Amino acid sequence: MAIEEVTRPAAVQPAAETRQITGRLAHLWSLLRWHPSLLAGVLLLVVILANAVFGPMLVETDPLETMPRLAREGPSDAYPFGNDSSGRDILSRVVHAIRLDLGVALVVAGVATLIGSTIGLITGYLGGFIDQLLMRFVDILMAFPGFLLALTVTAVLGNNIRTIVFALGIAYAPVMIRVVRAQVLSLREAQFIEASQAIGTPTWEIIFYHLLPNTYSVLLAQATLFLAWAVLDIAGLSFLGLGIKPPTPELGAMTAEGAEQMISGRWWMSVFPGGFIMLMALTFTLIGDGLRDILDPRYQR
Amino acid sequence: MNDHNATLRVEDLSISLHTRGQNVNIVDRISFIVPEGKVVGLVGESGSGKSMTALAIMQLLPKSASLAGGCIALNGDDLTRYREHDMQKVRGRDIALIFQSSKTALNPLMTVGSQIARVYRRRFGHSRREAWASAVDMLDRVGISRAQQRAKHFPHQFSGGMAQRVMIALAVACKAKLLIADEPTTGLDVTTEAQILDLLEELRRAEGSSLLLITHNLGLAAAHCDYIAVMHAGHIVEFGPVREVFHNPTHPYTQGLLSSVARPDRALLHGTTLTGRAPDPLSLPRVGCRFIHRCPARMPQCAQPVPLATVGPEHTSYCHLYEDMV
Amino acid sequence: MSGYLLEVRNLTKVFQGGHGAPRFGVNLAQLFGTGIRDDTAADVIAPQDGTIVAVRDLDLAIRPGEIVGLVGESGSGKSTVARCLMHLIEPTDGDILYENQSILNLRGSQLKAFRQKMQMVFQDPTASLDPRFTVERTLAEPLRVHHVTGRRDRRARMRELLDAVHLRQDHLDRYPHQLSGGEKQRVVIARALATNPRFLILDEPTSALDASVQVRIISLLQELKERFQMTYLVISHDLSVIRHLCEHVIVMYLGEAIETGPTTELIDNPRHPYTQALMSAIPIPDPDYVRARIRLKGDIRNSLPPEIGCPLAYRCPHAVEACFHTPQRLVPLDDQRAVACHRVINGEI
Repeated sequence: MAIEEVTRPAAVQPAAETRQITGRLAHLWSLLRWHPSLLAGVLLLVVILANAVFGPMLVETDPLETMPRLAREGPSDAYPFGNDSSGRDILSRVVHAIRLDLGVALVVAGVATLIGSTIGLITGYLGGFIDQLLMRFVDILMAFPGFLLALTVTAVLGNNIRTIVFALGIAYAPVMIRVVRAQVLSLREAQFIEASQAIGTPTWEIIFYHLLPNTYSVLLAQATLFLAWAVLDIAGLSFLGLGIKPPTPELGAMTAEGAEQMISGRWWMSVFPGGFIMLMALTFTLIGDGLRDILDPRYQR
Repeated sequence: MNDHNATLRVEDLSISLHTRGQNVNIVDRISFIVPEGKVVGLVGESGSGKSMTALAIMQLLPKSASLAGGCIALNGDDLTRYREHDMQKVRGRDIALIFQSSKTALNPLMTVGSQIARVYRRRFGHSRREAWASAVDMLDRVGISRAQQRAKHFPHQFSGGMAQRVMIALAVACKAKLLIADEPTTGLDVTTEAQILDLLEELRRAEGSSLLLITHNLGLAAAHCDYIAVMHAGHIVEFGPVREVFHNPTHPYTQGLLSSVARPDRALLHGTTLTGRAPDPLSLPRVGCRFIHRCPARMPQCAQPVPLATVGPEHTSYCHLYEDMV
Repeated sequence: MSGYLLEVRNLTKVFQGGHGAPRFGVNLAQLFGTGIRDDTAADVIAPQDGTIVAVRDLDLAIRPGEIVGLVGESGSGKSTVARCLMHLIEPTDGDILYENQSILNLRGSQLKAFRQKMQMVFQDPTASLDPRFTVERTLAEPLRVHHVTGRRDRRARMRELLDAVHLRQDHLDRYPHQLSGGEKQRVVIARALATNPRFLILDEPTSALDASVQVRIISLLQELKERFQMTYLVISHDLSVIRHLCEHVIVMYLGEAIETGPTTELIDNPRHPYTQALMSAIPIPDPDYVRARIRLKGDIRNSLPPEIGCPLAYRCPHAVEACFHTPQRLVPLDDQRAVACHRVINGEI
């Protein structure tokens, strides 16, 4: 009986999106090299993360300290981003606001992903009447623009971070439900799922150990896009006064405050916070799109 | 070998694959001919390079691969010198290709009849009406019942076997001198497979075309081919008339392959079975025999360039064992 | 008490609604149970009204230690039979008995116990392995689900399994895409052996493999059967595989069993016109092999069976009036063989 010969270190076949990308830096680099927009996104992300983690420590001024004498002053050596209507240091506020906005966005994306993927997995696999019912419900939810939905919820329940998270989470989750469910629908007919059923593996184990990992790629790409949307929507809600309240530094609120000043030519009060909103949204969009590309099997070639 | 009447003559053909910063000759200096009106079987396991060879002949290689030498002479004209513009005149006129998967090769948005009719219009300049009539006639010839109605159907409305018949209709309609069929019956039932190949044989004979049949199924090759070329890891290790190769295999790979194939009509032969797995394309030696790691008869000189020996009438073997018969 | 390990009586499976209509009536309890699926298998042919009789009235009886083959082409229903036997889908009618006990009413822990004893090797080794699982996790799954060993002994058990299928220990950390076709199939076989099953269903075990690898897998399967004293049901359209493994074979066409008998006899001397056509169509790697080709008319999809009567009627070269009106049942030809064709039984062909 012939024994299989020594298998030489296998040339990894270009193939399934399920190829293990994590942890192999050289491989990661070769992937990024060919995808300039993803690379740009990653670099920007590093900058933003660095800012969120270390920024507040490095900035000397207290973001809440009002300095009436310096109200509405433009960018100067001491205060590179200028001062707002109450004289507060805009740079300091922006740095703190990035941390806040990023944090809330992460929570929102996390909540929406968690709820959406769990529901999507279960309903996609079990199918049947409940699945049909649930999807009609999802259709109804998705008929409302996410922002309007969040707006309504915060208007009713009040502005605080908890409500925002709840509102946006509800608005985004249906998207993840659909995305994950679509993936599950095609996966559940796969032979390896059938093999697990034949072994007698309990259903919940099939769902969370077999199906879920095989949805990671679409899940991750969508979750990253959630981050981009969240940044914009949080800022948007706060801009309208329905989100995070001043004096807490928040990019959208700051942009709103500064909007009135634009006419008088004091551009720095809106442009800096607004610019960072845009930058953050751009970063996550680039990464999300980039991830979708590199995880597409056809790209692997 | 008498190749005065060779429809296709491939000499020293090499195909290079660019992957991970390396260039590998996945087909390395192969030579064979397809005599006029005959069927040559290109036989090999998966990864041997047979499909790439077919694509190279048609100059339809994927972006990652390219011709790396040799010549492909179709009725005397060297196709490797042709630009894309000229090749477009060759495809569908002088060479017709029958693909493995009819589902991907047929246009899903056009009726079957109009796809075949296009051939008649483009190639022969028929009018719309004439072309349609010819198309229906061709569908009938390939055994599709109620051809008049079926010609108005779309590819997805045909079963695997029927769709393959349509592919054959498409190819035969071209009246090409050379037909290339790449695994035309993979995935079909045995009974359907036999029907399809009989049909192909019948139509081919009627036109006098030659056929290059690419397959991994030795039984099909034995039943339908006049000549066999055995491929392994990008080399043609043996070539000859079908009886010669099957009854008198000279190359150790051919011998291993023939003895390791299970047959329904007799018990398993426990003898020379092929051991090991096919060589990894990225670590193929540049020079010398590529069967070296699995060959029961390997010798030190096998790492040296391999001679092409004539071991019988029209029968060649690419092996050091026959060095004195070059 | 019969001495049969597996008995099938009047197995019938009808699919409604054609191409994969969504299943209604989800049971939340399924969330915690071992799922039973219902879908249209790939081997069924859909007539216009969308009702597919995938398997009709099949009887089967397998003794411990036997190897039985199920032969058929696409549309024969053989894959559906496999899935019914594994209770992955619910039969429409009939009964399936394992060790004299019906498996159709099993639920919960009883169903799980059954699954431990009867395992299946699937057709496509690439598709039947989770691409994200290493070989180790793949093998661990059945060991864990059925508590075959404690955690500490699990590795040892995996080593045993890999040994049994002649794979090396370093294969444990590989992913499926790093393995060759033959190696993947060995992993699938090792996984099936993990729970010490008595009965193994092999669905086209070699179809996705190269010719030379097929032979080695066949030898492996023979070796394993002897070593672990198992019983096999081998499903294949490839008669070489059947010949080398099975003692007894059943030929199916469009959901019905049309001929049965000892393998060598049936292959060398087929009696039913379909079996004859099948045998004559198999390509033999010998250019001088001569035989008469028995041709069937038409194509399986364009010649669907009559309402009653023989499923082959429209395609059979020997068909007569009666073939279209009388259902054909398996009738013994002698003490070992049976044919479902009245003309063969009457000695007319």
